[in-house]
Amino acid sequence: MRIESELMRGAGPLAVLKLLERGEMYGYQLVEALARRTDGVLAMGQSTLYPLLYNLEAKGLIESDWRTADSGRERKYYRLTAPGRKRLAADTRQWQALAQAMQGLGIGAAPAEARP
Amino acid sequence: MTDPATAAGPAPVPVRARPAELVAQAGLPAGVAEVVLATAAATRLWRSERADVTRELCSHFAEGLAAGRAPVELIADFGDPRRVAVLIRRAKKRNRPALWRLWVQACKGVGALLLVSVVLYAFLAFRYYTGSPTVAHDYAAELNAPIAAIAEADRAWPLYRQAVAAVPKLPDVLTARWGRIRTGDPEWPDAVAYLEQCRAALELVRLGAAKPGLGAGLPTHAGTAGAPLELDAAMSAVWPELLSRMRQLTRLLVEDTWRAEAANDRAGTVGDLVAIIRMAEHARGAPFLINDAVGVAVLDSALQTLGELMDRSPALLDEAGLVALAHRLGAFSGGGPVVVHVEGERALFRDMVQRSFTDDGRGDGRCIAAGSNRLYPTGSGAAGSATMLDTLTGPLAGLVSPGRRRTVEEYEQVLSLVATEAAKPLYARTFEGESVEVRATGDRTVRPSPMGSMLVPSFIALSTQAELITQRRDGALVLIALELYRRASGGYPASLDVLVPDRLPAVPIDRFDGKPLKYRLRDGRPVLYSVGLDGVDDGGMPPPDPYGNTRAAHWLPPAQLRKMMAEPAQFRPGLGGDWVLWPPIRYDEDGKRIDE
Repeated sequence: MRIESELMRGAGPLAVLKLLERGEMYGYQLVEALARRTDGVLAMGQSTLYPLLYNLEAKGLIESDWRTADSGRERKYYRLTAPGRKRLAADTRQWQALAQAMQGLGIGAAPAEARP
Repeated sequence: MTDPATAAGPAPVPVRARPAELVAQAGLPAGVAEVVLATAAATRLWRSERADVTRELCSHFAEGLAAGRAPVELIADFGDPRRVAVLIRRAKKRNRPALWRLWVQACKGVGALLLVSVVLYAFLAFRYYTGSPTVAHDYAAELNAPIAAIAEADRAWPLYRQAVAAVPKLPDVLTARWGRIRTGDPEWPDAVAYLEQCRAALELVRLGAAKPGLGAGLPTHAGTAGAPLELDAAMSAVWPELLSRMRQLTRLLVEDTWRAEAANDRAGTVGDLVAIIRMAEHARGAPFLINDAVGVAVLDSALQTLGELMDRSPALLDEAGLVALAHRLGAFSGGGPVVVHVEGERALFRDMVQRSFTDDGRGDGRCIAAGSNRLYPTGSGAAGSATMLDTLTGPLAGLVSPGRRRTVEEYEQVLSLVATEAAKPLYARTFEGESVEVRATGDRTVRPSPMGSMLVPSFIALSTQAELITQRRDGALVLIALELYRRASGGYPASLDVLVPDRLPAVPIDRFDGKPLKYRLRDGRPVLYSVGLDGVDDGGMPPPDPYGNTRAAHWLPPAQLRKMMAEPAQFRPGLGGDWVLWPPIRYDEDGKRIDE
């Protein structure tokens, strides 16, 4: 299932920040990781990912540098900055609150008739 | 989660490398390379930014190919290059330096302001160049009405015109001093011979001078067109030439007075002097400043000639002649002070306004192209013709210049103040250096209007001249009264009061101090004088400076006079003496007295 672009607009940046929390990654790696770790739900093409990365960079939430891999291929690695970590923490809390609220409405939880 | 298969350190790729070079270095398949190049080109980013994007896309596709994905699949995932380029461009621009973004915002602001300005200017220009005046009043016709009421047979101008036509060309030998040549001068024989040739012209002038009115009207329409002729143009077409001719005839009469004196021709002498006085009245036959200026100058010629004549040949004029002159002078300007007319200038202004503004029917309107150059001439072009500067700035006139109603109100306020002041005798005037416009309106933000700036100085100067000629005229009346008294009593009176009421209705006032005109006997001869510029009675002696008597016959605003009186003696000519009206005080060309 693919997520509507409106929802993706809020979820995409948070997902990317979350992936970078554990270490730096390059563009293709992020595309693959998003598709793999979300079962394709948050899979985003290059048309979305790279503008998203440039926007996060413009906001100072991530930073990047070019390096050459052993394979000889060039890669641009992105990593979180201190403001990026703060934003990730704040956005994570908001998403959790949102998820709880949605669950309270029966969205994201087991069907109502199945509840005790 | 760092990829273990990487080598630290920046890649050896030039920051500003061309996308094609980068794609070639990456060794991508043709289809993929095309997508990368198309995307990079469509971003329209800075060269360094395009290089960075190209490198990243090359890296992306190279990783995909290395992961075993087919080029077609990767291209399909990538999406529309143009759409991707738009998103990338938008995001990348956010990474640009703050100073650049500030510059862009400033440019946008200026651009918007410019656009608004252009739209506003276009709107104003449309209103300015398409607005049309409503010429409702034919001011020339209104001014002509009293002239038209004068019967043809009572008009002097036709005779003056004939006289001008009958005047032969002035010989070269006489041109330099014509009007100032006297019996005994080297040019005198030539002058007499020339005056002989002018006999017919002189007769016509005297006939004309005897007429009740001048009878010269203004043209009211240009050609066959129905629109009333602009008053300024109508006046310019007639009066300067006409008045110049009248001054020409005045000089002729002055010289003929001396011819008559030399010939002991009493009737001729009186006839010439009366004709000059009448011509001065005729010159004032229209209510414009130029008419008053010429009228004052012509009367001054008559008074100077009379004063000189009474000094040189006191016995020449008989009692009847003296009485005739006294009556003629006494009737000048209705017998009171010589006044300066404002009606003509007001009509000129009103006519200009009706041609320069729109008319909303309630007395207001906005300035339009048809008249802006009249009201606010830049001085760079001929009057009435628009220069490039006028053309460009004209539409903005409505933003900075007052509308019709305020323009008229300001003018009327200024005119009223100036006319009130000008109607006072010199000693009662309070004009100061301060802008007259400001004093008239009590508003210090008032900008001196072009109309006011043009009118006020000439009006003040001319009204001062009118006061001075009033004083000279009053002095001449007293002089005639004294002469008549001397002939009847065998000597001059001790005081001018003796002349009242038999020979004078009242002792005239000194226009410089408001007290009676000064009189004393010196060596058995009367001395008539005013205290003059400094307001101090110096016993009837003119200031010792060059042309001192002329300088004492001058008026300054009180504040300026106080300032001048505080100066060292050599810097205050005209002070320290009186303005002697009679006997004549004469100077040579260097300003040295020659009558002593």
